[in-house]
Amino acid sequence: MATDPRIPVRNEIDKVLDKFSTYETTTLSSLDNVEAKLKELLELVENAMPMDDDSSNLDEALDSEESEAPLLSSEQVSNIMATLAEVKSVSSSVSAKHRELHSFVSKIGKCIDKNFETSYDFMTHQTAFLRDETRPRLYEIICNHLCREGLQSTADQLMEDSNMNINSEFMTKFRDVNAIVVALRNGDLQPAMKWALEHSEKLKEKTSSLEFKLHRLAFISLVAGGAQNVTAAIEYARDHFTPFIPNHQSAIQHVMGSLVFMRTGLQGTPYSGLLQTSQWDDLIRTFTKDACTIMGLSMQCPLAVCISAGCTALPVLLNINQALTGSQVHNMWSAKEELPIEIALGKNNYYHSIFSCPIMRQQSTESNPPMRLICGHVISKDALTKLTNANKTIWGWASSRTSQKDTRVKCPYCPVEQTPQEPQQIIF
Amino acid sequence: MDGFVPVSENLSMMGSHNIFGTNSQISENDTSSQHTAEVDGSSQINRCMAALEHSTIKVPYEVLNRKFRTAQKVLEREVSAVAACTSEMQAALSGSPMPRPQQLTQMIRGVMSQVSSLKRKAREAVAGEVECARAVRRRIEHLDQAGKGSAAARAAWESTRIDRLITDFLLREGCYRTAKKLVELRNIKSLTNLGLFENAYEVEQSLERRDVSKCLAWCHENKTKLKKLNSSLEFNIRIQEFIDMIKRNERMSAVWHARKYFSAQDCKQLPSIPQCMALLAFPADTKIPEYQVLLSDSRWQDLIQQFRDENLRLYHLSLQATFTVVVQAGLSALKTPQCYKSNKESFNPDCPVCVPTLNSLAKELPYAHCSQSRLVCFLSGETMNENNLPLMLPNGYVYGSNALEAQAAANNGEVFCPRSETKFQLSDAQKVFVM
Ligand SMILES: [Zn+2]
Ligand SMILES: [Zn+2]
Repeated sequence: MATDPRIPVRNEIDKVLDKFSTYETTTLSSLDNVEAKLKELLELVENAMPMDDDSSNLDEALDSEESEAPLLSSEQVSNIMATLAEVKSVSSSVSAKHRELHSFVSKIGKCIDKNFETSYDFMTHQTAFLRDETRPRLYEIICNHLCREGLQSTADQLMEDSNMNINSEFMTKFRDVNAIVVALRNGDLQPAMKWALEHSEKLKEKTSSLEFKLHRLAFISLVAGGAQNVTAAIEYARDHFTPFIPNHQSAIQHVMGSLVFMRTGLQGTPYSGLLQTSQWDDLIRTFTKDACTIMGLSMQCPLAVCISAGCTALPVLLNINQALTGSQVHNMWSAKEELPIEIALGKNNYYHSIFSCPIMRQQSTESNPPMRLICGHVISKDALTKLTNANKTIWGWASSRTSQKDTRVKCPYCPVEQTPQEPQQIIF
Repeated sequence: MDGFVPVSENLSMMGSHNIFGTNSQISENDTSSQHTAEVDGSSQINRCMAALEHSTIKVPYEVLNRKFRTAQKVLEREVSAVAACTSEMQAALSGSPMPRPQQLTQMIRGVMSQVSSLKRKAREAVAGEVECARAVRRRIEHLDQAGKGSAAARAAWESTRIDRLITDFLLREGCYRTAKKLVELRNIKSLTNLGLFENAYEVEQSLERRDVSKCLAWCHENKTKLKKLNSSLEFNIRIQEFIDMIKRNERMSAVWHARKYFSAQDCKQLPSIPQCMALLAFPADTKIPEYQVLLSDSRWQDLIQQFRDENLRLYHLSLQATFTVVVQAGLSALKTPQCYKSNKESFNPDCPVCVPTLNSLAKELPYAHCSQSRLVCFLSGETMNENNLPLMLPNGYVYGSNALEAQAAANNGEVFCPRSETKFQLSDAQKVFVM
């Protein structure tokens, strides 16, 4: 069970905030006292001054300075001296106490370094991922991601900043798709209708319900417009629903029923659901899904899937990295190798079958494919060869006249025997 | 069918990433929130935090630390000003003759104004420091939201994480304007280190224009720290100035420049000095390779790169962007030999590694490790197991029984193998057992 690295850091921060607040209420407030005392002193001296405190007499007063007796008693002078000493000590404590806070502040830094991974040095062992020739691809992936997110202007800026002209077909395509989504968000069905018409062949091929959903929403919008739209709504239904009767008969019956409520409005009727924004969300989802499929793209952003997988994988790799020696770490990042540990991404993130030979404990490759024995059990080609050879050495000396085709291989999992030629290569 | 050991699911980290952020399709994972799963989930989140978020918190901390040091200097200056006028007054009072009342009031007012200045500056400083500390705390508070709330809230957090990772990467790459745009559109300024890179961007831009003044000012500003890091940046800038003088054929100025800046440098940088000085003897269009390198424009790009690295080191940031590290780890974890099959028959548009750009990026990375077979039906994407038996068609291709049976039901027992583009009878399919 990994501990939460956020908690100790937050505690240190709270400690520092607390220390600062104490510093303010005690040390800085003591400056207020000092100020008050200085003010008293000022009053004291001002009161002790002669009343004819006229500036025109100042020169005269200065001239007669020596003859005058001191205006302050020695008691008053020592009082002033004491206050001044206090001013000094309090103010110097302002910087001294502040300096003491530094150890608490730097504890936050140490705590962060202790609880969070400070560097990914082990990754630098591997052949540079970010090189001049790979960098444009990484930028392109980011651009594509930004386009999927509807952030075209940011993608354009990236191309400008990087001096790269990533004019991928992808971005143009997504520009169109995004424009349609934005229109749908604003309740405008027309661009989507146009797109659906252009791709209607392909949409039919994959029995998409997009076109029907578009027309249904257009119809409902008419109905929601109130009684004056009755004729228009009926005409619209006649013009557009006919091709969908085979696949959507009950849905069409349902939606036509809404005409009954045209006078009173759809609110509170079984049709109010058809007016909700969730209908539009559903439509946007259907549209993007169909658009992606037709363009041969994934519904999910590949970069997002990849980062999500990376967030699961990185902690595991960092962990195992500590247990490996330098050369092992180096090997770990070689393209010929597999990662030293299995990373469980969850079955939603498995996109290909992987056959791992139960005997050799190795993943199959093009040169070592899975073989189905006649009983249905699957082992790798290498395992089959091994089994065949083992049988040969056992039986070979006993009957040297036994020809290759008489060699029998027994399935390691059941009693069925067969010749080495009988198993069939399979492709998952 | 013991071979199908369910691989543990990561409940919270693998959210669904729909395009356009429509919070649709709450995955099946969300309904199964058993206790053990939650424990696993939070443990997973903790590990993920530790692995990814160092710079998220460390940078605002460094800002706090700097703020503290500046504040300390200001306070010390103020305190010594108070001390100076206080001492002056003490001396006057203990000397003879006694200062006159007017002088005394003046002195007291002087002390008072220094004290109130100290008070004001101290309060300002503390307010600034507290704000910095709170900024660190706010980042932690954002991190605390990971994996919490509704599926939509979690997906939004993860989407913000992608924005943060990309922003950090763009800033390190010098794409400041792109980063700024993204940050503004997504409203995530307080979660990114954009402010830190603003000045750095200006320095880079000026270096791009062959102007070293901003970079030298930056070097001066961070003198002590750069010295601690043994940085050779300023020295390299001085060499560049020298080289430019040679290029402009101002050889006398170059000599003066060299005398002024090269003598004081520490020894480890000395070897490059004679080489530079030798430039004085060659024409600016010399064909000797090692001197051509010194004179070439690519040296400016090197300076920019060095500046970027030093700027990161100044804030104790890892030299590698978390983004590239995460993408690498993710690609490796997803990479299968099937993504690189020569005949492309296993291409899956949903698989990130099969996407051409990522495919070429992942070429040099290791494959995922897989000790247990895991079978995915090519037709449906569903797992093949005891509930969806793998069936082999006569040509050796294997598909899940669910997909094949559905096809057969709709086509009079006929099934279609898309990879060989051949039709078969479902009755000819044979069971496959994978241990
Ligand atoms: Zn068998
Ligand atoms: Zn793939």
